[in-house]
Amino acid sequence: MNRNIDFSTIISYIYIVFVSILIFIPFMISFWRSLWTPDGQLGLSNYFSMAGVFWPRVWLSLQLSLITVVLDLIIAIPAAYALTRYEFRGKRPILLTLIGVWYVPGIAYALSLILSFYLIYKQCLSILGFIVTYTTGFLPMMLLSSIVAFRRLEISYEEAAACLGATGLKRFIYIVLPLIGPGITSGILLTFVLSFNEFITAFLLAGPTGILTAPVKVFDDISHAGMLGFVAAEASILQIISLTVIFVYLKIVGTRYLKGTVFF
Amino acid sequence: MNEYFDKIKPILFILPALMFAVLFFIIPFILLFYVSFTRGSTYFFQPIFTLENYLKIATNYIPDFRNTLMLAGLSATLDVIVGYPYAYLLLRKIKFLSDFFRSILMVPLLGELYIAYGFWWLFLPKDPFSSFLEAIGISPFAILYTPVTAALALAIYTLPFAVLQMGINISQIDPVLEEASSCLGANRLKRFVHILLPLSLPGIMSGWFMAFGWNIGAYAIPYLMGGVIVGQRVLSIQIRMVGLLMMNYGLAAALASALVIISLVFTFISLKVSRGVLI
Repeated sequence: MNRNIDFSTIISYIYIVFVSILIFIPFMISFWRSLWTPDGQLGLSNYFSMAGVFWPRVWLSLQLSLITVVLDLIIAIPAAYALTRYEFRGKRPILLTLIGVWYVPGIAYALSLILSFYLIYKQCLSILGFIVTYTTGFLPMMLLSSIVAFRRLEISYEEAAACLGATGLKRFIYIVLPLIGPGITSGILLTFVLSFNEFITAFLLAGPTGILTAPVKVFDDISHAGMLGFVAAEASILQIISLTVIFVYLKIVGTRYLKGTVFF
Repeated sequence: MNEYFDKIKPILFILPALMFAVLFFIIPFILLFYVSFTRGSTYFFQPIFTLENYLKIATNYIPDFRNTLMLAGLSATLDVIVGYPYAYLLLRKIKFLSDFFRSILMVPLLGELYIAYGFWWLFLPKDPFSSFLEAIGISPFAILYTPVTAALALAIYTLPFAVLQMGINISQIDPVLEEASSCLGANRLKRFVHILLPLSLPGIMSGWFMAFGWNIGAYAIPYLMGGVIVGQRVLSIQIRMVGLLMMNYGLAAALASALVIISLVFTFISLKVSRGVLI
C-alpha cells in the first residue's frame, strides 16, 4: 500500500515537472540563443550590441509601468474600500464597468482607444495616451487584489478606532492603509509585470503616437531580424527583469497574498 | 447634512476609478460601435452611415472568424486536458515545492510575445529540440507555420488562466468525498467519472471559456507561428491590417465589434457556469 502511494506521487511529480518545463521552454530557448554570438561562439556580446537603442526603451517601459502602478493604487484602493465596506445601489453595474475591460480582447480595446484619441482626446496622442491606456487596462488587476485584501481585513479594527473617536479619514489613513499594505503588494506586482510587458495595446498605439515601448521594439526587431542573436538578447533582458521582480517578491513576501488573483 | 454625506461617500470613493473606466473604456467602445456603421474612414470628415461593413464581414471575413475560433477552441481544449491534472495534482498530491510549481504558472503572464518568439526558435534548424523531432520522424519545418504549432503556443500562453479557474473549483471540493467513495469500493476511474468530474465541471467550463477568451485576442503567436494561410487570417491581425495599414477604420471597427461581442458572449456564459468563481 505504502509503495503504491509513493509510485503515484512520483508519477505526479514527473507530470508536474514536465508541464513546468513546457511552460518555461520559450524563455530557456531565447536565453540560450542569446548566448550564441554571430560567429558561432558562446559569449555575451549580443547583450552589448544593441546597447544604444534598446536601453532607453527599457527605461521608458519601466517608467510607464511605475506610473501605472502609482495611478492604479491611487484610484483602486478607495474604490475597493467602498465596494467592500458600503452597501449602495448600482454596485454590480459599477463593478462590471470597472473590470469589464479585462474581458475585452486587447486588440479591440486598443482600436477603440485610437479612435477616441483621434476624435475626442487629442492630447492623448502622446505618452499620456499610454498612461491612461495602461491605467484603465490594468485597473481590474489592482482592484481585484485590493478587494481580496479588504475582504480579509477584519472590520473590528475600524470599529474599535471609531469607538475611540477617530473620524472616517483618520481611520482610513491610520488603521486601514497600514493594515492593507501587505495585501495589495500582489496587485502592485501583477500590475507592474503586466504593464511592463504589455504588447498588443502598445503595439497599436505605437503607430499614431510614434512611441515604441520595449516589448514593441522587441517585436519590431523579431519581424525584421528575428534570427539574429541580439533580438534574443533583447527578449531575454525583458524576461529576466520581470522574472527577477517576481522572484524578489516571492522571496520577500511569499505567495500568501497572491491567492485569489493568480494563485489558488 | 451628515446623512446626505454618508450616502454619497461610497460614490466619492469610487469616482476617480469610475471616471477612468467611463472616459477610457465605455466611451471609446461606444465610439467603436458607432464608427463601425460608417463607410471607410469617412467618419473623420463627413460620416456616411451604412451597414456595408457588416455585409462585408459576412461575405469576405468568414474564414478569419473560423480560423480564430478554431485556434482558440483547440488550444483551450488542450489547456483543459493538460491543466486539469496539473491543478488537481498541485492541490492533492504535491506537498514538497508546491509553491514553486505554482509560481512557474506566472511565467506565461509575461505575455504571448516571448512565448511566440521562443517557440518559433524551437522549430528552426540547428536547435536541440528540432533535431529531436527529426529523430522521431516529424519534420519541424513542416509543422512550424501550421495551426498545430500556433495552437500549442497559445495553449502555453493561456494555461495559467485555465489552471487557475479549475484550481479554485477543485479546492472547493471536499477530499472526504473521494475518500468516502474509495471506502465504498470505487476504483480510480469510477471515482473520477462519478465523483470528481461532475463536481468540477463548472471549473472545467469556466477554465475553457477563460482560456478561449484570452486566445481570441492573441496577436503575436498567430503572427509569428501561424504562417500565411492560417496565421495571417485571424481576426486580431486583420483588425490591425484593415484599420491601421489600410486606413479602413469603419471595417476595422466592425471586425473589432464582432470580436468584442463574441468575447462578451463567451465571458457571460463562463460567469454563468462558474457560479461566480471570479466575482
